[in-house]
Amino acid sequence: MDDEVSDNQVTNFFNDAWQILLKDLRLELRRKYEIYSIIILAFISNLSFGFALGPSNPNVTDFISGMLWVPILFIGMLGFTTGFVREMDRGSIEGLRVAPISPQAILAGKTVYIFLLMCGGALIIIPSSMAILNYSFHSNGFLVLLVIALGILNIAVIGSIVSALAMYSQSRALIIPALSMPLLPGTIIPSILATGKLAVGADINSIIPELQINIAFLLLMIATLWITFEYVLYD
Amino acid sequence: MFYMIKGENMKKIYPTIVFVANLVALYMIFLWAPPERTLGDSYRVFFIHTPSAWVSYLAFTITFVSSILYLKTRNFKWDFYASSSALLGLLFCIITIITGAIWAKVAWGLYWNWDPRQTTTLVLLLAYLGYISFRMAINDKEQKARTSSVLGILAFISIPLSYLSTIIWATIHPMPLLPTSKLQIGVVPTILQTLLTSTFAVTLLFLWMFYITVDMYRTIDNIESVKMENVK
Repeated sequence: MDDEVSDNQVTNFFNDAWQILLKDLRLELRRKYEIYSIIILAFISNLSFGFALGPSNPNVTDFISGMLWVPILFIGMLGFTTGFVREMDRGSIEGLRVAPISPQAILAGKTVYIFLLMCGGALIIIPSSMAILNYSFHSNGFLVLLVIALGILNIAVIGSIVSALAMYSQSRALIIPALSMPLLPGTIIPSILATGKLAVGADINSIIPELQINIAFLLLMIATLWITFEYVLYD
Repeated sequence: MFYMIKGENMKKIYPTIVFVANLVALYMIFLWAPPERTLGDSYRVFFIHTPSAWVSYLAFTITFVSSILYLKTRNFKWDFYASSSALLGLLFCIITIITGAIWAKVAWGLYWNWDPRQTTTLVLLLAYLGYISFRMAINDKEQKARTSSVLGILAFISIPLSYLSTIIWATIHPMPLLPTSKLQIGVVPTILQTLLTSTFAVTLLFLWMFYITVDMYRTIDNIESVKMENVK
C-alpha cells in the first residue's frame, strides 16, 4: 500500500514536471525570441574567435574550452531570465502557486527547460566552431558529451534557482548576474578544465577529479533545493 | 553566543577585553614573534591573514545556520544574525584577500596567482556580495528574509568547495598547519603561539562587531516599523 502511494507520488512528480516543461517549450516555440538569439550568439561568438585566432591556428586547442563555455554560459543567462522571471512579469506565478503541483516538480520542469535550451545552443556552437576553427577533439566523443552535458545540467540547476530568487527583486537585470557569478564557478571551472584536457586527447582517468567535483556540486545543489525551494516559491 | 556579553556589566567590560586581547596580539605579532628565516619580517602579514580567513569562514557559517533557523522558526532575530554576519564576513573576506595578495607577492612574486584557494576565496567574496546586493534589491521584510535565507544556504556550498579545490587541484598555497600523527607542528612554537593569540583576539573582535551590527539592524527595523505605523 505504502509502495503504491510512493510510486504514485513519483509518477505525479514526473508528470507535473513534464507539463511545466511542455508549457515553457510551447511558449518558447510560439515566440522564438530565445531560439533566434541563441543562433545569432553562437555564430557571432564563433566568428569572433575565428577572426581572433586566424585560420588553422596550431594553438587552437589551448582555447577550445573557453571558446565553447563562454557562449554556452551566455545562452544559459538567456534561459535564466525566461525561467521564473517571465512567470512573475506575466502574473502567471500565482497560477503555479495555487496549482496542485509540488514546488520541486515546478523547479524540475524549469531546470529541464533551461537545460534543453542550452543543449540546443551547444549543438549549434560545437559543430560550427569545429568547422570554422578547423579543430577536432582528440578524446572519446562520449566523454566530451558527458562533460558538456554535466556542466550544462549544473548551470541549468543554478539558473532555475537564480531565476526564482531574482523574480522578487526590483533590479532583476543586475541581480541575475550578481547571484549567478558566485554560484557558477563551482561547476564552470571543472567543466572548462575537463574540456581543455579532452581537447588535447586526455582519457577518463585524467578528468576524474573534475567529474567528481561536478557530480558532487550537482548532488549538493539538488539536495539543498529539494529542501528549500518551497520557501522561495510560497509566501 | 551572546550569553557571555548579555549583562549590562559585561557590555561595559567586553570592549575592554577585546581591546586588551588585540593589544597583546599586536605586541606578539610585531615584537615577540621572531623574523622568519627566508621571508624575514614580511611574513607577519600571515598573523592577520589567517585569523581573518578563519573569522570570514566562521561568519559565513553563522549566516548559514541562522538562515536555516529563520526558515524553521520565522523569527526575525535569525535574519538579523544572518545579515549581520554576512556583512562582517564580507569585511573579513576582503581583509583575507588583500593580506593574502600581499603574502603571495612576498612568497611567490605575484599578487594574484590564480591559486585554487585564492580563487575560491574570491568566489566566496562574490557570493556574499551577491547576498548583500540581493537583500538591498527586495523591499518586503518577510520576502527579503525568506529568499535571502535560501540564498545564504546555497552560498555556503561554496565553502566546502573552497577546501575541496585545495585537495583535488594541485596548489601552490601552503597547506593548513595541522599536527602530524606524532603531534609535531610544522612551525616554531613562538609563531604558533602568536598565531593562536591573534586568532583568539580577532574572533573576540568579530563577536563584538557582530553584537553591535545585530543591534544596529534591530534599531533600523524598529525605525522602519514606527515609520510604517505613522503612514497608516
